[in-house]
Amino acid sequence: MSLNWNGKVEMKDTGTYRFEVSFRKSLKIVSYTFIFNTLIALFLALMVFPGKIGECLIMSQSIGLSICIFTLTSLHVLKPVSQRSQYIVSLCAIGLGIAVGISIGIAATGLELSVLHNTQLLLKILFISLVFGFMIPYFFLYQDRYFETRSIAQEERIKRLLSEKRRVEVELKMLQAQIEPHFLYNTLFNIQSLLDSDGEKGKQMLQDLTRYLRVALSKSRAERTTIGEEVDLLRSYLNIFKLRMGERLQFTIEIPDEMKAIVIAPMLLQPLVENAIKHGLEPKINGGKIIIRGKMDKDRISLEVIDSGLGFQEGPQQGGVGLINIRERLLALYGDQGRLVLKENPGFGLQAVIEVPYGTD
Amino acid sequence: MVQIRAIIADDEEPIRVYIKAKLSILWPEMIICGEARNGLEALELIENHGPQIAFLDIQMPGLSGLDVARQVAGKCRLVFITAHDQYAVEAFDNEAVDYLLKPITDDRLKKAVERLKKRLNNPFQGPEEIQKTMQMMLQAFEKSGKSYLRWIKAQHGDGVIIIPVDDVCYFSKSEKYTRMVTKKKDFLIHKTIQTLEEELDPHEFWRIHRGMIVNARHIEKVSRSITGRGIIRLKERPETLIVSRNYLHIFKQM
Repeated sequence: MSLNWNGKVEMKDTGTYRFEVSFRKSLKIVSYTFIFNTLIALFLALMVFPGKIGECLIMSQSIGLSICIFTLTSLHVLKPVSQRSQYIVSLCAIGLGIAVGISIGIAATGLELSVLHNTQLLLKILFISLVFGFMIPYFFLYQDRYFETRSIAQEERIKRLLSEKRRVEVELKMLQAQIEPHFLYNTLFNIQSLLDSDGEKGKQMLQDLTRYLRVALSKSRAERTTIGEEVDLLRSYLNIFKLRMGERLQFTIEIPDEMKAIVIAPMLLQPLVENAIKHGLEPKINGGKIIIRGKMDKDRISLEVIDSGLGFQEGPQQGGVGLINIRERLLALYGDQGRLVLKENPGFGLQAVIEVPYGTD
Repeated sequence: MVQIRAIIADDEEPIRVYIKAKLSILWPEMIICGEARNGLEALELIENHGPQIAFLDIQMPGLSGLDVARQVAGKCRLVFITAHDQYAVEAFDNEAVDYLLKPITDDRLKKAVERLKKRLNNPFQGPEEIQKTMQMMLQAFEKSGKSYLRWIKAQHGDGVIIIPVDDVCYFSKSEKYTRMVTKKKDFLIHKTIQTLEEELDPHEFWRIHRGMIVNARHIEKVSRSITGRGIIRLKERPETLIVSRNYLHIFKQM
């Protein structure tokens, strides 16, 4: 009786619950029981008591309905809270229902009371009632499941639509992330400033910005790029920040040459570096260091961005939107095979590692 | 004639140099008595030199320009510099403070200087008005920066691992700590269920019990027992969770 025949409940519950089955639901359960009883009666009339369809029908209805009514009423009145008491109450109700049902049945079919002395027949009726009596409660579950399966199908459809929408959104965010307006305005103002005071540095920064934009905006990059190209992009990006932040930023890029031709999705590393600067080093008074490192084995590559910044700031105003985007893109591109792991090592900022399969496409 | 003194605070050197050079042309009578590379230095300079004007970058290490302004309000005239227009520039472009958007054009800087000259002749405005403006700016800043908790730190081995909240199946109260359960592992964290409920996105994380929050994305199905309690089965965990009566309404329309 939705007694959770097969459900494991590990979490002990401390609240109190009230049994609530609406009138409408009860009506439904009763009518299902009625149909079920009729089927049992037909079965019995054919297989067990040939030719006694009338008696079978009356007997089966009276037993079935009284089990149903007893169970519903007792649960409604007693409102058992724990699972065990639900079991006990239902079992008692079923037993009582069978006894009352058989009595009514005998009275209604007009069978002689002598039936009571026919032990064999009585046992037969009792056995059949017990078997079917315990099946009635499944209607509750059946009902719930029926609606569940319907809603699951609906859910699947919504999910598919959502994932499509998500993919488009993620792509859009990626495009926006390539050229963040604040980065552009700040860099342009730095160039403007340097042109007056230190033309050589200003020219250098302008060249780095151009290189960055050329890679970031290239159309062929929309879907895939090589690690080498990504590294060029990052070097320009970091050069710009190096000029802006001066001594407060050091960086090294340790990517083995044999990795540079490997094809990967664009804009996976850039947000990690942006994050390291924005949340790790820029807010830190003395700044620090960024290390970009690549490793590969037979079928996997890992790309790390390590910074010595402030570490991950936890709280409602934390950053990390860019990191969420990376996760979503890894999931969309590589499924379970791609992952982003973030670690904070004591005394040494944040370590972000992207791991993706290699050579599978 | 009283000498006009000002300080410039910006973490990027080229910008300090540029603004200083431009100001020396636009306003030769003004002396830049100090340059600060971060918020703490800016505060110190203002305390020590008592300048009439402070040019403050908003995004600075240590203390932000807004934090500095809050502490020195009423002591000097403030001009903010930033590339972020998220603070709704025009709204604060009033008598209390001025606002320069990067990249700063010569015309705009000239206008700021003229405004400052005019304002220096007027008596100082009460700190109340500056405080009020600052409050508005801070509110606008915090509102735009507010988002839900997306990552949670948890002790792991000898380091700290940062777990995306999307991976968490549910949180449950466990004596002094909170248990954070993911597909494969579980962690103990210090945040309470109450704090988590406030910080997590309520569309994705549902409180189902006094001591429990479930991630809606990890729910396989919810069935209702005849006793009216909700029973949640999870996609990737064997245990089932119980929805207490007080929170059942979440699932009512399903």
